[in-house]
Amino acid sequence: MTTNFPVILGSGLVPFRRYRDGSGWRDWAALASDAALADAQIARAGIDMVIVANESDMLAMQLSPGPLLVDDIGLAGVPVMRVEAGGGSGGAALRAGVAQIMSGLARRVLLLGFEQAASHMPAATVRALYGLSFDADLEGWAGATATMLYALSVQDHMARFGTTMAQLARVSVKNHGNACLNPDAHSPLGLTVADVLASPMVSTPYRRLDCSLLSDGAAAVILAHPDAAPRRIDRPLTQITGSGCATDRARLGDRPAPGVFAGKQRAADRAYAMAGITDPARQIEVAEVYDSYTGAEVQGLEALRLAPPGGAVARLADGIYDRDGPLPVNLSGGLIGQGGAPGATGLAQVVAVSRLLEGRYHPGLQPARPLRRGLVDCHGGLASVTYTHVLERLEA
Amino acid sequence: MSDVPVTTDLTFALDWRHGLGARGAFFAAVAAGRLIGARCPACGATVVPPRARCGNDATLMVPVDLPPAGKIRQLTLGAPSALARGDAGCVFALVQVEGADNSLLTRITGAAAVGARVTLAPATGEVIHPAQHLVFAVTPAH
Repeated sequence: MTTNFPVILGSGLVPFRRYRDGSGWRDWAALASDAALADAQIARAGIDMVIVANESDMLAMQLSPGPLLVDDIGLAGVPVMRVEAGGGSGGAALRAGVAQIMSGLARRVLLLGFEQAASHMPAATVRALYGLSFDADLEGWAGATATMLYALSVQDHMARFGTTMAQLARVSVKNHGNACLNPDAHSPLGLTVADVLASPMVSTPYRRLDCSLLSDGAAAVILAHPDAAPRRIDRPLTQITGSGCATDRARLGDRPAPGVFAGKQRAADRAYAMAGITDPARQIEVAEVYDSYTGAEVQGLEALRLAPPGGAVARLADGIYDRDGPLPVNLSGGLIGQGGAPGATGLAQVVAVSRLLEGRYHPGLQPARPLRRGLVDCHGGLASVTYTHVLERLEA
Repeated sequence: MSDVPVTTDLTFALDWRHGLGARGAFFAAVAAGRLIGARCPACGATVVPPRARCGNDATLMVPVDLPPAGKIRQLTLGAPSALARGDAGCVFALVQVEGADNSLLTRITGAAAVGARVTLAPATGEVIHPAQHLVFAVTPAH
């Protein structure tokens, strides 16, 4: 076991869906917390810090949700902080939890991410709100949408490397397909490249099946200092061995290469340096990569150095990132297949990768070979802030 | 999840007086058909819209007038969000403004194409945010 890098004691997830059953984010947060505590096999009294992640008070219709949630879940009195980084909020919570434990401020931290993004507002309202995720004064109020900005970014990638939409469509086929084996997924679909290319246009060149969907849901992860982790003989644990965060220029037009996620590359390099990884494409064995759009997964794979610049689509076509490939990517289905509840997404990635490393993910998605090292990657804005973490299996 | 689903439909309208601060001069100029950028006295970088400190070296920048014209670098056609106003259409583009080192995201009218020359043609109708004046029109070929 490596020094004081935190270990994951347990995790829980409320399936990403569009809930129309009268439930809300407080219900999902409580369910995810209970599931994580049960999975960790520790008592509530063992938690000495809670970190809450959600993207928007406008979506929750609740300001300062932290103390309310802590009270809801039976942890009143425990310190709480709330973090926000758009779609990277869950990653921000993980990094904050790592910092809490490595600094000695806390011994066992509950990370709790949630979002009510799908069920309660008209789609046009949600779209307008998400348009404010970039430079609201210059872009959001002009009417630009998130899809437009990602579309402009991927066009630079296409011009720079010759990437085609047919190549990118394979991401949608793969991730929707993986979701078919994930009972927690929002969008399980058996698709072909032709299906993706025939889906309705949203913002050129992105079509509906190139885009992830917004979901309701929650996810929880319990971290502990290695000295505060109960011994378990039933399964291995997962340790966080690398944490990286970096920003990019906020406005796409200020980036020298708008199709390259330079901030994500910096975040990954920092995580790899901390974890002692020198050749990520060989040393990372499974990854959850932020795929808000098909192109974002490809751009992300390259920024994370899991493919050379412009080379991810060829590896995708070769099956490298497939379920049975040497480096499966987004086995959960990712945002495209599993769905995206922004505050919970980054923690849902941790649920997937930690369980994959521990050999207990969903049947059909769990590779037969043992996995030792994985990566989780999420971002806010247009990879404007990225959180990248390296996870490693600890033997029981 | 609830035994007896209970839902309620809420409407919550908010009114703001939003201060544009240092960005106000840029938007006022756009509404008047002019484009203001900023130049870094240290590295010479010129950007639009203007910013207080250079993104390369954090030096305080100085405002400069830029030609209200440029060339489309990338464009996308899609439905604008519900915040959009006016009849400027559905094309947004990154425009390489003449004299600037960066690109500006802006709405486009006319027959937009990558490489097309565009000029600032501020929206004249009612807007709810000054960013909605920021429209470039494709310059007719001679």
